[in-house]
Amino acid sequence: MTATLYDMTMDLKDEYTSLVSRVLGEQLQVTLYSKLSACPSDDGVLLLDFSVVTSVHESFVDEFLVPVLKSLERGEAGDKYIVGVNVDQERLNLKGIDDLMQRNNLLFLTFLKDGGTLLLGSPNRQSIEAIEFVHKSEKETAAHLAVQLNVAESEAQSILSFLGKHRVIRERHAQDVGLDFFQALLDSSERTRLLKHSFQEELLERIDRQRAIERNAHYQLPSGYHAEEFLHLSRVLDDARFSARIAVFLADAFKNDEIDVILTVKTPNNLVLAQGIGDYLDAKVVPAILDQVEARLVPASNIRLKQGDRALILVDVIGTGWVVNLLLALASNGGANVEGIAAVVDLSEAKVGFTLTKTVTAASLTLKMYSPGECPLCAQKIPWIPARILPRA
Amino acid sequence: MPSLCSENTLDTCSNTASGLKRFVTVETNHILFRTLFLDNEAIRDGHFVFTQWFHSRFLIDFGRVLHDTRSSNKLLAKMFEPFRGESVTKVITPNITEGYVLAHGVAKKFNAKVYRADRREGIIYTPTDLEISTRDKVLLVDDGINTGNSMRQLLSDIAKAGATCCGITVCISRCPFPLSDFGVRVETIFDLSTTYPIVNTQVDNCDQCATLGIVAARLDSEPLEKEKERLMFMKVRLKPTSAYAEWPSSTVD
Repeated sequence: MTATLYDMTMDLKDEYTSLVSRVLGEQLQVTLYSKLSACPSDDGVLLLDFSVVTSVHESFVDEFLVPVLKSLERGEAGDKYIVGVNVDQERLNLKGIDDLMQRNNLLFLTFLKDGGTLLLGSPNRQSIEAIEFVHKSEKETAAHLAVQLNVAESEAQSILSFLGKHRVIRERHAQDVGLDFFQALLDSSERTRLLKHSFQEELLERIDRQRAIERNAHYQLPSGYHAEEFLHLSRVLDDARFSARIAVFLADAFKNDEIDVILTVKTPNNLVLAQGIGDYLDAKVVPAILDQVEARLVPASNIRLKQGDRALILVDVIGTGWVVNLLLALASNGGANVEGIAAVVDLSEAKVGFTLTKTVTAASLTLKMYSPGECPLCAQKIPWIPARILPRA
Repeated sequence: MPSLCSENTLDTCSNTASGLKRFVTVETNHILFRTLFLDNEAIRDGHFVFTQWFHSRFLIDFGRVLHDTRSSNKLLAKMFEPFRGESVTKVITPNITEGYVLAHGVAKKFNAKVYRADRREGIIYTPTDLEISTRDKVLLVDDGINTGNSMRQLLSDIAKAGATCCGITVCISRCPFPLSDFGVRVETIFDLSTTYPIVNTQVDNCDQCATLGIVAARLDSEPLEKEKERLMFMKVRLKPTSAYAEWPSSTVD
């Protein structure tokens, strides 16, 4: 059995994070059928990734999910399944989808962002318990389920066959060899790989593919360190949709912190990420530029920080933490309280400890960087180039 | 400070349906302009020198508009709308800060890639890592057209590569030349060429120069003497030689 992760928003050109229109639903339905028929093996699970979706309208589901699930139940696409993953229960209007599923007598299995299971269109409590049980222990049989639910084995069997009929477990295996529920999906290591680490892996893969790491360079960084390898993150952020996903990923970690302002440096990468995060968290963006007189940052465009603002510090790359320290100084001068630090890539190997503040990074990398005086390139008398990473005032 | 609409807007819009539609559009744009630019104090009064001989009394500081993330969404919808049906594959911006943010927003709707032009010593270079093929459909996005120099240069570079340019979409136009001169479709939300004009000092006299003396502040506070030096320098276009870009590709500290 194969499991494929599919980001629905990839094929929708019009709107990005909100799936609301009926036409989009029709469009996605066609794409999904072609995806299912292109699946090499006869059986497979298609994981619909909801991680960047901010809203789903009933009309969208009506045109997209209902027809697909119906044809799957009729067995038109072979032994294939569709499951929603990374669903944010607080953000999406799941009640509306639930009602729609019940009206159409369908079931749709979703995995929540924080790890729970949710069965949409659920007819009774026992099925939900059964799904939760099956989800937790993949090796058990119908007899175990009967004990768990405190019912007769035949009844447990009928619950399982009901769930199997609605394509939320694999009925074929449920009867003879044990539940074997979406083996590929539930195999904990595989599932963790697909759901939890897909984003980090994709980011690292993109850094590799876009050749974002410049090797055999010799830069002097503003903190005094010398770098033999330099990360040009802008080559990864050129993809507008991927940079939006990074922004959503970082913002998601701070959604309960009531951030008022995002403090960042006025460079292209940071501005784009800050707009994405600010849009998600409904916060304002304060870009900072380097003061010409002193080595400190000042807000650009005469924007002022307010006393007691809850600030999030954003940098695209943490190297030695020099920029973050400047931003922390800016926040404390302006009277803002720093609630957290967000960065896309951490190069410091967790050596830079901002222990007092919550730090969220999307990926970690190790690059060749040398402290002042220990640079082997300087010993070979290779001339260095100053890396200008901050904008002038 | 002058207002966006002339006083006789009502008179010029007749009672026909198209006239009414135009009037409504002008009115909504007027309100949008007031909330985004005037309320955010984004328009600075003074004496500003743009590239070559272009002077103006006003500078529109887009950073203050995008300070509020909600305002960018309002602008993006209007910038995307005229090109909705086009299958744009690449979005290029000559700006590296606010224009880049808007370009990202537009590219997100097209699912296109964003490229920013490189700027060294004030000269625009079409991105070096940009591989334009003849099949590409390119859209140029920026926060505003001031003199249009950078846009013209990007357009000629795109034409050399043989790609199709769908057009230009910008938020503000203050260009002293007619927009039809670009030879492609140009869509703007706010046309401020009469209310916040840029003066071509080769043709007209700059009032500010006469009253203040020539103490002009450039966008990045470059003094005017240096501007003249730079203009001499501009005659010789240098090819980009090293990987060293004026604008950072990441903040590795």
